[in-house]
Amino acid sequence: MTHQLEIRNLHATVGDTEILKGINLIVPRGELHAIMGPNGNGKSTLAKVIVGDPEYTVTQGEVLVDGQNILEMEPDERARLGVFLAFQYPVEIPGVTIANFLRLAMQARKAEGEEVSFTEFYGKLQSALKTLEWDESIVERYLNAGFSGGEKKRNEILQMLMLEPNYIIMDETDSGLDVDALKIVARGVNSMRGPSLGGLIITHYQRLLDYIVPDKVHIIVNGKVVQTGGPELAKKLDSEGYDWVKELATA
Amino acid sequence: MTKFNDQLAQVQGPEWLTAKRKESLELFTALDVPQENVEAWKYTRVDVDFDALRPHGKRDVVSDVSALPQSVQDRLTGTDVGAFLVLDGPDVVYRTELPAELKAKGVIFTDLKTAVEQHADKVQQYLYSVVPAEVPDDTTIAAPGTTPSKSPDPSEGKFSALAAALWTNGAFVYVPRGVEVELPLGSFRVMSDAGTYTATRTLVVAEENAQVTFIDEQDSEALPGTYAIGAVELVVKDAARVRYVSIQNWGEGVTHIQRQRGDVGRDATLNSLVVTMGGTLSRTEMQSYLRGQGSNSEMLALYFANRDQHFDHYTLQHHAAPNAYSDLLYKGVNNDASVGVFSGMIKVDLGAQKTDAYQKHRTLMLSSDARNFSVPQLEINANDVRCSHGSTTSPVDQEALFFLRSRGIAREVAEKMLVTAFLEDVLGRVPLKSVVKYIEGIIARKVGAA
Repeated sequence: MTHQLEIRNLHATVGDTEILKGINLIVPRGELHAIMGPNGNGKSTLAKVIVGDPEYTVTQGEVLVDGQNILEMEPDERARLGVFLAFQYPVEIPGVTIANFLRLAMQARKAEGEEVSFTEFYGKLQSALKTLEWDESIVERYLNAGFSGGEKKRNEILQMLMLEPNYIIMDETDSGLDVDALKIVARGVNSMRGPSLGGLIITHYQRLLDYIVPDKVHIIVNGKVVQTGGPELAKKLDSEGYDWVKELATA
Repeated sequence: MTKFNDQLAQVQGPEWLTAKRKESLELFTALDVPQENVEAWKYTRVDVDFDALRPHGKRDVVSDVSALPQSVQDRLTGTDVGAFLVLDGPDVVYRTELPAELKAKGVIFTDLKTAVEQHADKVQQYLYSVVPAEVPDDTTIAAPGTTPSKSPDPSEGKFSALAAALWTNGAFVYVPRGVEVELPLGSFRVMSDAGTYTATRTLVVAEENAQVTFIDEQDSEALPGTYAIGAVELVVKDAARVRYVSIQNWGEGVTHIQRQRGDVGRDATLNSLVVTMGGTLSRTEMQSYLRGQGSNSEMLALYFANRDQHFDHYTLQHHAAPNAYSDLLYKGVNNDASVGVFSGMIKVDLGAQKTDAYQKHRTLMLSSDARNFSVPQLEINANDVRCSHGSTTSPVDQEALFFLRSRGIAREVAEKMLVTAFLEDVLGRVPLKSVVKYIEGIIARKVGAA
């Protein structure tokens, strides 16, 4: 089995509009790739299509997780396979505590008849909260209800640490974060980095990539990957802007 | 109706009470069951053959908890009420005593029958004062020359007349001026005789600046063709604070019809929570009559109807004095082929200036076979008020569902989580830990079975 996330000629639409127009990408485990590009060119759509957001329709192509095409799978099946999206806009669910939510999400990964033990849950939680500099009382609060933008993003990373995915997709996690929150989020992600973790870091700016240094950088313009390079590509975008890559798409 | 006359002879009482009962029975006999043309009963039909109804059998008083039905025992182990009555059908079968220090302060907690004997003056003063036999006349006071509001239909008093005439027992709470009762008091009502009816009555009196919480729970096994008719009177004197919780969890086959009404004095507060989970047909009325200036009423409810359950919630926020505040939030879930009815009325009398009255009804529909009828109404006769009402009906939030599923939680589990969360939102406003835990348990069982 190839331990990689592979996207093959992916086309997707929302309504009548084609957003993804043939994306090709390979991210082996052990690597984090940045996805950059101007807004409105398909970065977030790619993230949502991978995790099975029903708002989008895939018209062509495949998404292979460790060799297995996941496009026919339900969103929860994909998650249990180890795919995790840190949402750009996490939802608020008053009435569901974070603790209960995390426990049920962990439970969903267990075999029939097997329970999440208190030690397992609490041990992981303690360590995750420490990494994120969060007080334990946070988990008694309702999921994202009344949270600031920064707290919601931190909560996404908490879920990531608890659920230990194989592939993470971070959808503009840096947007709206001050530098302290950004560092905490980066620390959470970096604590998971290693040979078993692969993923995509979707961002518009270089800022986050100062803290989470990517192995590769891909630029998406008009629904296609138009350029791939090393971390220096992100720096170039930061200093030169996006105008030159837009020309690549029309070339 | 000769049968009811026989039953009238069975329920004992002093002369004033017997006269009242007789008069109420005459009213009952004269009235029809409310029909479709009665606005307040438009969506709910009660199909009952009164001639075929017999009273619920009497049950022996037990001296030990272990002799009570298992479900009651289970419930009692998890409660933190300071004192309680257990009624099986018509009468009390078990009770605990009020702590001595509360007795010493003049607090009375007993059954209504005993109270009639031992505290005659108090009972006679307040019984039927809030929920009389007839439908309370909540016609609003309008400016001269304007059309007054429609008066209630007399048939709306059909079941309250029955409860007034033939009540067998219930709880009586009296809290003297300035006394605060910390732990809740409660009655646990069960039934165990199918094809019968019970009529019960609860009277809670909080004198000036007193405080008390009363929990009124109903629970039974499935009982086909069984009727529970109830009346609850809450007298909230000036600056007093009363919290009233009713939890209806009857078994399948039970028809529950209960009028609950508070009379709220100056600067007084009535917090109510209505929970409807059981029975096959349920009609629960919660009425706040805001008599005093600056009075305050919070009216909360949650319900979950499935299968063929029909839940009707009728509410009234009647502002009769200026500067009063009422806030209503009813949240319900309808699954399968169930029916939900909400008729919510806000009435503001002439002169009730600076009224703040809010009303929100939220329904979560889980099935395309389920139906919901929501009828919010306003009648405002004052010109300087803030009133709002609104009703929404929606399926489970798809975005939230997707979020939960994207964390690996299966659709079915995620839907249950969202249904629970929808109702939990109401419980977040109720500062009664033990009761909230109990309600959460009922919700979990019901959501699990959905």
